[in-house]
Amino acid sequence: MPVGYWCPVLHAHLPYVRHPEYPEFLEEDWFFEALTETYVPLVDVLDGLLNDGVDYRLTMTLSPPLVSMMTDDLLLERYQRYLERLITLSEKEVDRTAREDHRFHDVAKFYVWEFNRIRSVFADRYSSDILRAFRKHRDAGKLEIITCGATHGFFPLMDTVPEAIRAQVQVAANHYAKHFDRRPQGIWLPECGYLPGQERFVSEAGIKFSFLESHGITDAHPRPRYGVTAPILSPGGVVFFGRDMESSRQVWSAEAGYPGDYDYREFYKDIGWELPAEYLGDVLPDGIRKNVGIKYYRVTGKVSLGDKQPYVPEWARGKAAQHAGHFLEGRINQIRGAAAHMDQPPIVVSPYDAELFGHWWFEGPMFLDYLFRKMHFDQEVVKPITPPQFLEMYPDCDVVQPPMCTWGAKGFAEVWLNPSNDWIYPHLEMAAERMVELARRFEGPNDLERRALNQAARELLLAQASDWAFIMKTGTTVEYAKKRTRDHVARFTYLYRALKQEVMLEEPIVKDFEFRDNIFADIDYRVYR
Amino acid sequence: MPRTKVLTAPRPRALGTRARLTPRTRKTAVKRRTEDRRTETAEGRRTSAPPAAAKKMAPVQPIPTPPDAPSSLNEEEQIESAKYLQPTTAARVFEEERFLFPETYGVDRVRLLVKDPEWLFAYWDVSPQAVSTLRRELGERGLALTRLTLRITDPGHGGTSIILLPYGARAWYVHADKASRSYRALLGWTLPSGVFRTLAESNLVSTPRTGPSPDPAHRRLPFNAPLAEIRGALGADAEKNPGPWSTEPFDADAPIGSRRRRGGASDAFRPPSAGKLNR
Repeated sequence: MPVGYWCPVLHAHLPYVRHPEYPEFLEEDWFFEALTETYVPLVDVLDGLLNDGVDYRLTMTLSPPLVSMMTDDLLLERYQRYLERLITLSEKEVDRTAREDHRFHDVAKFYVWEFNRIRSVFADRYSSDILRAFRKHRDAGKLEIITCGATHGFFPLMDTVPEAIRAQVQVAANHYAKHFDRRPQGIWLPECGYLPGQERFVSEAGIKFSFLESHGITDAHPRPRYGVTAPILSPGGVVFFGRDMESSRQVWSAEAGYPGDYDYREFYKDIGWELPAEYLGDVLPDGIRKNVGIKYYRVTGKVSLGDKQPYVPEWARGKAAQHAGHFLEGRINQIRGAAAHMDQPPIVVSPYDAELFGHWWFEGPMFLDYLFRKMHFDQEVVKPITPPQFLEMYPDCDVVQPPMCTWGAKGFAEVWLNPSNDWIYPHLEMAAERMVELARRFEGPNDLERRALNQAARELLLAQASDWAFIMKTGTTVEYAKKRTRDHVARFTYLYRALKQEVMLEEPIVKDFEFRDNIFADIDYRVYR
Repeated sequence: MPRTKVLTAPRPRALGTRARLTPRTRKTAVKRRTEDRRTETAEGRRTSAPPAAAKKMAPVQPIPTPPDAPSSLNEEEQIESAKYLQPTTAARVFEEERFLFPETYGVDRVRLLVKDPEWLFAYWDVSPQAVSTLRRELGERGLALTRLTLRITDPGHGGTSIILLPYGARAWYVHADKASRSYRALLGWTLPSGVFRTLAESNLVSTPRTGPSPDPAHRRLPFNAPLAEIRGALGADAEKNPGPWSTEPFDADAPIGSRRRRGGASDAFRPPSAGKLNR
């Protein structure tokens, strides 16, 4: 019997980026990079744990846009091309470094091995069906897959059109059922965003649990007895697990966090920026410079990018093992401390953005591998667990009302509502109201009208993705985020006006929209009633 | 919130852009055709290509630094932004829908969103008809002397803030003096006579509580207990207020925006008066 439990949660999400109208499109790389550096390496780690009899437990969001991209033939075909180009380039790099720069020859060979490993897991082991891997681990009782908002809409800022929140949850739950053969038990509220009362839509979809930022639990009323080390039950009938800040900081903190260790791979120094474009060839679409995923340097220290030293994979592996041991020790101490004041075993919940592991922190999957193994073999104080497994053993929760909270800066809505992005909300709200109006107006649409109604729902959902507001705030690819907001609102507006017979509803236009924005093939617009 | 205070607007927040909806929202305003772009890029490659026999692969340009993450982001967000990061020096060119976000949707409405415990975001729309009506009634001079005004009220505790809006403002960040309070906005005209004439009423919002509650939890229930029992555990206030969400059907025949808005989903658990849940 362990003293307490550790509940790791990986939130895997990317916005739906798919541009069939272009032969290749730079922003599609977000998905390809995440597959190569995060999702496939994670699957490989989980496979290894399962094969070695390690009793790991993991909770993982697979957001509906991500699941849609993972099952989209066009994107999978393009990913194959992406990976082949990367492998070809890495092989060229082995030759080049042998001739010209021996400092990087070993790490160049490492990349050939690494990319071939990814291809082997993805294409050979799972025949490009990565969801099969996640289902396998779910069926083994080790992995709890949860859903998310249909397109990661930020619920606290959608409150004026509750039907739109309900649609985000219902569409997501139906999508989950289609791909995972059962209804979801848990949901990751997009951006961990919660406003009191909104859980009714979660509950309505039969979903039992979710997660909140720490202050959503600690500042709840009345005050929960055990803080974030026990789940609470909200008035809407949904259990919330609170995020533990200590374990979070150990990984996230740029200063004190593990990813900043000097032996780990440096994210920002990539050969896509350093070698001649014609040498890099078709890994740079349209010759546009970008990260290609081959990075030869380690963090090194607080030095400029020009002073970074070569990456040594063996050193990094050693550090990942060391950090896993340190993390485990921290949880053991934490759980022992909490258990002394509780009448049930504490649970420490550690949610992270999944893409942190691998994409940002290259050694992240390796760290998780070591951590689960150490937790399984080296001690008995703390065991990993999933929320449903915990609730099965300890079903009783304090009934409290959490306050509004998010996991954004300062804990509220500032990241998604500020002068860089606030202009989108009047338009999103109006589109949502109009969608509800359409859904209630059309009882028996003809075939074209039905297609237009369903497409209008898709366009609205895609416009609502919180990623666009986030990107506008962070300033990374702002033009693209604005384009996506504009495109989806524009397409929605055309469909709305056409359905209201203000302009002609033209089948080729509807068909074009369906071609471009093909997410949620089975959507039923009546979800907005 | 003080009983009544009048704030003059420090700066306008103009929303949206210029024009009306285009009759068809098809994509004809393509910045440049894909083929043109590819041709140009191919030429660019040719001109910038070093000699094929170049021996050493020297860096071809300064090593880029990632875009500076805004300091208001926390560490997680700065890292999270890396998943969208394409620190490219080239301007992105892509086909876009020809669409201008409308300046007005032709309705009178005002909405509130909660940004954090201290700030609300108000945005509104005033129909051209409302302006025409006022013009007919007051004439041009009277209209010019009329100020669009936002009145923020605290229904639970009383008190009103009055914000005289500058011409052209379409949104405003409103300082909410206290956490754990409810607010509603009234949008209207302050006429030359000083009379306030309401145009629209907003949804009701509550700023979140901050800090631990002084009251310890007193009820534990199994997570799968009936909903009524769970809500009952929080006291009578929750029971009295089942929430208007499902009881107020959407009136599809009413013009968009004419519905008086209820508070939204979060009303479901808001006590009818200054209640125990949101102190």
